[in-house]
Amino acid sequence: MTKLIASSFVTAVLAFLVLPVIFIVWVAFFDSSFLTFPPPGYTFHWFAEAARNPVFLNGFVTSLIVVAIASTISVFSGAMAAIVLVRYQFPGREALNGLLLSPLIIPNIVLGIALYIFFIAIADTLSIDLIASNVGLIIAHTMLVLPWAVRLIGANLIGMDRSIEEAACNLGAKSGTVFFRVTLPLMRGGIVAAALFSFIVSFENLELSLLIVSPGHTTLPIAQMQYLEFNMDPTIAAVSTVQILVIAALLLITDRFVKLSRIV
Amino acid sequence: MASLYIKNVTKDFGPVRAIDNLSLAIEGPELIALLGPSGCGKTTLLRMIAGFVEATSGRIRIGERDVTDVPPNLRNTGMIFQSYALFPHMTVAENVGFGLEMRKIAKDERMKRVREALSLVHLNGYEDRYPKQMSGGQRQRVAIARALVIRPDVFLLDEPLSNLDAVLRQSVGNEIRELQQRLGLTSVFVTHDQKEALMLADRLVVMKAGRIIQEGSGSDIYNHPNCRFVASFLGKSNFFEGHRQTGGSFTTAGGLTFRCPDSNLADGASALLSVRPESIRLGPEASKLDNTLEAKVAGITYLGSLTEVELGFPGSDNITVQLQNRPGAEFRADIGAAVLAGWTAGSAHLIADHGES
Ligand SMILES: Nc1ncnc2c1ncn2[C@@H]1O[C@H](COP(=O)(O)OP(=O)(O)OP(=O)(O)O)[C@@H](O)[C@H]1O
Ligand SMILES: [Mg+2]
Repeated sequence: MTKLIASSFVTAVLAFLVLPVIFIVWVAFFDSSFLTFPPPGYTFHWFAEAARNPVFLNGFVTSLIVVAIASTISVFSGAMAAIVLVRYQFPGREALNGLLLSPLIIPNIVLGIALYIFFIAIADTLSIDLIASNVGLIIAHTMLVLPWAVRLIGANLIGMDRSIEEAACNLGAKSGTVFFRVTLPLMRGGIVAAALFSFIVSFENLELSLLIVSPGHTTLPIAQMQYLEFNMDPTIAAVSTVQILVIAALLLITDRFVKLSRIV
Repeated sequence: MASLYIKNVTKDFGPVRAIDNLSLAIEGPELIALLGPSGCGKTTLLRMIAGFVEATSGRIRIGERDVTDVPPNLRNTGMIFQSYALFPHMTVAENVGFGLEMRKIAKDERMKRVREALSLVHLNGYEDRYPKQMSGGQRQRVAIARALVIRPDVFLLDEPLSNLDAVLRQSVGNEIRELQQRLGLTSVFVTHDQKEALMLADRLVVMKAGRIIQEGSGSDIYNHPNCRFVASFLGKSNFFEGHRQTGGSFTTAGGLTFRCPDSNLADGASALLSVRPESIRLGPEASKLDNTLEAKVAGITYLGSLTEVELGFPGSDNITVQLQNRPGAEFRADIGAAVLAGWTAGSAHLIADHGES
């Protein structure tokens, strides 16, 4: 009996999580400019429409560039920060830890405003306009995802059995060799999880980007929002479906190399 | 095969003195067991030999080489860890070959020696497995092959059996002992299990609070413990506090007098008389022995091959007696029944009393 209740509860939660996704994908194929139920028919038309729209196309490219660079920077620097934070005791360690995690606590909008003001100040004093290019966005997104990278890689390091590294050293490996032959391969799960989370968090972010984009440097979520201000047709569902597919593909590819259920 | 000399080594972790001016020499193919309660410094001492812990003072020598300031990767020790510490991302062959690779041994020679090492631990054919595809006992044997393939000068084992079940503990333990003897390895084995130490080691080193309390063969230490701590750490014992008297007798604080064995304690010295539970006889056969006591049965515990009897009597703490069970001759009595207990003078042991508990 309790088993029945438990399984129906699990099913309900799953449905709650998955239904909107299924619904959006479904709507993307409606052969109608309005949301009518049941749909008069099905079509690929909205995908073609989305692909023809330069705003979405540019948004998609901008998003991919920003996400790729920000995730790479955050995984590299996150890994180094995590090693230092987990493995070494030094004065100011707690402060550094707090600082690295603070972007998680501050609302994205506030973070965006702060960065916007900061970038303006830089433009005024140094005449470098970070907002006119993707650089400002990349900096902002790196800040956004770095806490995730530090946390995930750090958790993996904390769980690591130090005696494995000692065994390598005992067998004659110098510290550099120990790091590249043993430590780094053992960090793989954490690094993959960090890269994945960085990608997803950055790819989906709207609030932080909102204040930092400039014409011609719009991310995909912002393009979607702007489109929604004036239109309400399945194009937006088609774009979302592509987004969902990108993330799903990423999850599947990752899962081939590292079992996700083990790291997240 | 080499030898290992530890000379006046001390290790402080901040205010904690983990190893206290300890000296120990192991010459040639000998397996010694470091034995002692939790926190007495066994692991710290082993890790100092391996080079993972720096000595605060003192010297460590392996053969002719003073290794005190040599980093761990150049010490040529072979270490076995409690958690196996295999490289999970490498196959068994890669694990075992790692030390040879670090020594720049060519691939063909390496593979040959890896196979030899695996056959030593009866794991031929497992070359391409990953550690997670093996059982605990197999993993520990891979770790043993990995440590021995480099032909270490000293073989170091930190509680290598503690993650294994009772049956495997026995078989992997025997395997370690057999390899150690066959290859003539100078070995240090850390354990807090006295059975393991007695089973495997040539010499036991009993530690407490960073010092060596007593060292010697298993039977030496069991039969001639030099203090109450050793007597109760290695096996059980009954202690009577009192004084040695002239003419080979011993009087307890409670006024009992026993005949006791020869000892180099001075007459009148305060001492402990230690009587092992298995040295005590009960009933009619006790009456013929040197020392007898009228006691009351306070408890009986059946333990298969043994029966443990708790006895109470005036003027002393309870004493424990262990009786060998033979078919049809198990000890039976009611709680509270009067019984005669006795032991021979030679089966007891006198220990100088330094007031420790
Ligand atoms: N890295 C360290 N920093 C501070 N104190 C330590 C450190 N390593 C060990 N100690 C202390 O040194 C003492 C000896 O520890 P050690 O690990 O050598 O004990 P042990 O005999 O191996 O115990 P166990 O049987 O529990 O493994 C303990 O008091 C321990 O708390
Ligand atoms: Mg230990």
